Amino acid sequence: MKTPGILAPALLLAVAFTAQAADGATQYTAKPGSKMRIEGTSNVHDWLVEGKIIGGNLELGFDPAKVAPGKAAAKATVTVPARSLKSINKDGTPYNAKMDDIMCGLLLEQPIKFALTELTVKEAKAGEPVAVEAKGDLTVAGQTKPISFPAKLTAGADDKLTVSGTAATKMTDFGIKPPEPLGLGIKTGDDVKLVFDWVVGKKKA
Amino acid sequence: MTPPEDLSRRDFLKGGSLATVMGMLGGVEVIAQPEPAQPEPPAAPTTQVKCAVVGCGVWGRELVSTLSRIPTARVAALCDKYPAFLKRASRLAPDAKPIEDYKQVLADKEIKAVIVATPSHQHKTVALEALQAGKHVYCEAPMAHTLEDAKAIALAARNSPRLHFQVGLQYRSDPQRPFVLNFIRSGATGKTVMARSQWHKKQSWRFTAPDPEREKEVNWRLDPQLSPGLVGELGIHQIDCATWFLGARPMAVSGLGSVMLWNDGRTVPDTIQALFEFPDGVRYQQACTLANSFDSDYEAFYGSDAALLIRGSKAWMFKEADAPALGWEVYAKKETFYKETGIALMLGASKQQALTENAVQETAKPTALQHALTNFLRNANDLGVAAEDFIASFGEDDPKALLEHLAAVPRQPGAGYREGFEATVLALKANEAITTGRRVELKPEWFELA
Repeated sequence: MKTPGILAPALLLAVAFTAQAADGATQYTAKPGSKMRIEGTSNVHDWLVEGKIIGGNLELGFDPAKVAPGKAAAKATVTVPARSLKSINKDGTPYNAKMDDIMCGLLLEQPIKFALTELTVKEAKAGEPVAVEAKGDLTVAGQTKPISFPAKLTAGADDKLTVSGTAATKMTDFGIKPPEPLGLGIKTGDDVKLVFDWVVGKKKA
Repeated sequence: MTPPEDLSRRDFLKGGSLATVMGMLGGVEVIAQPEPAQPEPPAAPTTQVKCAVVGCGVWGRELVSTLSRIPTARVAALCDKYPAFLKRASRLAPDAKPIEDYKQVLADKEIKAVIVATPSHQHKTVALEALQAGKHVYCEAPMAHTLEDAKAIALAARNSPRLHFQVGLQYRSDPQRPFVLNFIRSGATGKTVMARSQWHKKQSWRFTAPDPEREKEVNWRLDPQLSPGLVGELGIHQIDCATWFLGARPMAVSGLGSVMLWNDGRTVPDTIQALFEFPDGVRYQQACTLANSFDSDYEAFYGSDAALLIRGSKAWMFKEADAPALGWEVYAKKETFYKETGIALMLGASKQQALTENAVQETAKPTALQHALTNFLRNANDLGVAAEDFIASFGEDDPKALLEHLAAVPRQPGAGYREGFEATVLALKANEAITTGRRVELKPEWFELA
């Protein structure tokens, strides 16, 4: 069916308004373009794991363009499939399928999840990313621990928003023994960093 | 009794790994570092891929046998319209469902991957329908017996980015090959001057059958209308390796073939020679015969500083006296080769298998075929779960993003539709040159996938 040209702007306006929930919160959902990277160390060399799938939903009770510092109303649930994470070299090329298998096994083939419990706006300047501190529950390999980390909200084209941040944690916090691959004295470090760019877009009605 | 043909293609693809090279001296063994022993990863994913083998002839059964040794393979169905073949294959995979009609296999939603091992002229039908049915496809080489069929398969594979398509050119999956290739690419062999390969085995290529109709059907390789010839059925693997290693496509091919031994009324040659003309004057010569088994099979690449000899998953470098020192070769393992002086008389074992303890150890290594099928299943699984995860997270509103995501999924080495198509065109044109006795200039448009 063709839509008469005069109605098109009205429809777009309607869509924009329906994206705004009744309670004033704006609903976002995950979009392609995300990146999740796990950075780790070993006594031989550092290692990297990367995935391009970050699913989930975000609800913001504020307009990122107008928000002021302080606690802000927000909800988020985030999911990263363990099997989507692949070991890579520094240049982004695939590293080793066996390492992928080991890591997926360490994660018990379960997704990494994050549930936001509190969001505090630290700094908000017009035209710049909004700096926030996020608190929530991180679930890795089936074990859940509280975590907090700094992040940024950057508005993009097409009503998209990118949530970027880095969360530091330890494997042992989630019951994972740092692997000693190859049995040749190589030991991976306990500390890991989760670096992410989560792209979300306004939900359509 | 297992017919002698049971050993043919299998031996071709793994027999060369046995260390019995004759008539050469002082080879520096060029062998990839063995992968260190891996600890058992905790709860490592061992997702099995449900697959079916369509075509349970000699080679199809070799595929079933190999799949039975791969932990990620679950052979759920075996398919052949000839009950005797189906019965033999079922002994290798007793849990697999025997099915006579391939359409039933394709209709089974649980089966994710199909391995097409029918006679070459039947590949197109099964492969195209398998892709249409949403199955990952491993198509044996050659892809088809005509250029048109091969192109149709390649185009269908290209247009199915959500499915993994791999061609049975297993050398592409053998980790030893790229390792050896580095010695050419790095310049260690000097200026490449020529290449040569051979496949020698004494066998008839003729099968017995209970009735004339079946006899005609099972001996399709001896039907000049259907057979890609020795160069198409066996030489294609070495042709693919030659073009890969030489890094170029030949410009012309000529060849000759004759029935030298098996004068049973056949016209398909049992002995052939083909000569491929590559750029810069480099020529690659291939010889295949069913009349003599001397020296089995190998590929050799000759450079101004050294020659590389490859037998299955082993390789040696033979340096010229005036070649610059590489340094590492001082410490490398060296094997002294000798001329064959006798035949080991051991029932049921090839003369090569009988010679050394090393030879026995070599046979325990994963074969190129095992690597190829393992990689196929891995790629099929990874592509499948990548699509699942993407759709579960983002839906299907953005097909372009989905395809970009799938294109970035890491793949384990294997011959794709492009490599398979190129090799098939070369093999079929070489067979044309052999059967007509004419030099065939290889037109670039034959290789295009419009």
